[in-house]
Amino acid sequence: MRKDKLNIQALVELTILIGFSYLIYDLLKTGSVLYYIHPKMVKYLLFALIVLILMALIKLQRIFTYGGDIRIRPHYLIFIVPLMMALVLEHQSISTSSANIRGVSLDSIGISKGVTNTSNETYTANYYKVDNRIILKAENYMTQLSEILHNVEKFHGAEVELEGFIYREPHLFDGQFIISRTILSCCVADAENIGLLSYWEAEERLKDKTWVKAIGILQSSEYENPQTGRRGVVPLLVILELEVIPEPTNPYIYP
Amino acid sequence: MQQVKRVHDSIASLLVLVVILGIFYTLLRIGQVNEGTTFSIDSIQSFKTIFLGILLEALPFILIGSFVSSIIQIFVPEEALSRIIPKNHGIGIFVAAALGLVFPICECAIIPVIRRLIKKGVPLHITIAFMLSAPILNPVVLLSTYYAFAGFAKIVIIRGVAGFALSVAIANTIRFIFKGNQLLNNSHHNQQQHNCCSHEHHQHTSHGHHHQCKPSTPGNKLIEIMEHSCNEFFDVGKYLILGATLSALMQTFVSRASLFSIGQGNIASILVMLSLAFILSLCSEADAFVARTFLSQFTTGSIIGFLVLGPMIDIKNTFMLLGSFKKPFVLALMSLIFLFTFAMSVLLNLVRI
Repeated sequence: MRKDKLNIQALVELTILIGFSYLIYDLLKTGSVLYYIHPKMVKYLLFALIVLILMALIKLQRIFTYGGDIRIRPHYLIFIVPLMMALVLEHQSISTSSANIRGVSLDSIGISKGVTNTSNETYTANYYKVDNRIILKAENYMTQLSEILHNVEKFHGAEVELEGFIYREPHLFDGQFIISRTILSCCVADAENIGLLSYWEAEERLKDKTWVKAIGILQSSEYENPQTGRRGVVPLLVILELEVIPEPTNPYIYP
Repeated sequence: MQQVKRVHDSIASLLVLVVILGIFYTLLRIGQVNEGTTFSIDSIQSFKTIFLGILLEALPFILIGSFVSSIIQIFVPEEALSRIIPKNHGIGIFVAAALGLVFPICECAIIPVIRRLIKKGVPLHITIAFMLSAPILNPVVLLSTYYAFAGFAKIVIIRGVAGFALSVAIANTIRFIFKGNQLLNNSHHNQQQHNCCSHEHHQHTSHGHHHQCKPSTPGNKLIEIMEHSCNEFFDVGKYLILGATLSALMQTFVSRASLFSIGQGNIASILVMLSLAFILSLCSEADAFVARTFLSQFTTGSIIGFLVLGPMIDIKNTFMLLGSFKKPFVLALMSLIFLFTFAMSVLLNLVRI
């Protein structure tokens, strides 16, 4: 055993382990980790962080023991390049950019009809009503919106308040746009966008992807799903009041 | 002989590459016609976000998988394994496929584990049956499927039964096609048996031994497991990263609309949902939540196909398999999974479940 030579390979592996540990530590500390994964996954990542640090400690003992191979193998680049990218580029939510790629669903948010038809009472308990206004919050967004989508008639004329980002599709009528939110079930790979078709007279003043808080009255509109070509009636929010807000610190909805 | 094998291997790897690039190119073209997805700063950002999302989600489970693999390596003697495995291979496959019900293991963690089991002498087809069915029959996965499809209990049952049946069928086919363990014996791995510590070193190329054998105390064992897991992590991790990269590229540049433009018919919907399952590389614990958003637009057969194929194979797993197994085998396994799930989905559509 020769102790005099530096084991380059162990050093590179140590650097990679420290890099990943730092990345995860930073994500957890700043909370940006929630841009990438569901809060329920955070505990697993904490576990990963501990294991990575332990591995780094063990590698540390190895860097002064001669490993026989002092060349740096190219496959370490597979770790280093993405690590650099992750550390250098700013952490951002996927919300607004994913809408362009994945589209925004207006007529189906996945909650099966079987549920919504069983009993309306259970949902009524979840309403956030202030002076008869329905407020869509992160906690009740899914159930409440699915209730509205499946009972367009029943909610005709109801006053609704919600937050979301502006998304437009080319075939929408003048004055129409979508107030959309992103649902995350596990990690951003499964992010899905859902939204409420909206109408505002001053629609052209709104820029794509800005976050707004809107209050309006529910009506309904004909809508053709551009992805499936299916026609149907969807709820339409005719907006009375609208204000531009900054992106929430936690932009997703976690079901 | 060696030469011929090498040529075979490179032809197979070329084929895999061509197929993946072909799919990517076609989708990109359709995507451009429909949507005009362009390259921009925005797409780099969303690529990074999706890539890191997949990586962060899979990382803990890869580490757990490496851990379990190291524990098997160090604590489970080969004789013990061969004693447990039923002598009758048909029954062996059946039991292995059912084991998933007891082990809550998902598709990221399973690859280091099955690699180790095969190295320990467990027959290939038995480990494959376990690998294919466990991420579907995993109790956590079945529960989340039940939760996602509340009110559609039959989807949970069909997913479980179909996943089990297809795993058994595919493993049996593998048993007749492939002999031997099909593992890569990478020259740069050079896994040598270390006499006194009885574990392999992933020491690259040289034979230089770098540690002395100490008497094994519990503390040493733990360090040994950690070292082993670390090597395993670097080994599997690079394929995870490659897979996550390709999946994130697809998700950034191929719009959903381009996939949907293939159609919603009986056959077209199945093709769409199967490709989606392959591209998205979702965790099997989360895929049901994505699948349900397609329930109203696609045939039930195609939804089940999505739920069965995803946990068995996706981009991320393909790369991890390519890092462990010979390319012709990976190619055959992928084709079998696609063919069987496709046939099953068509059948389900015909009987109109």
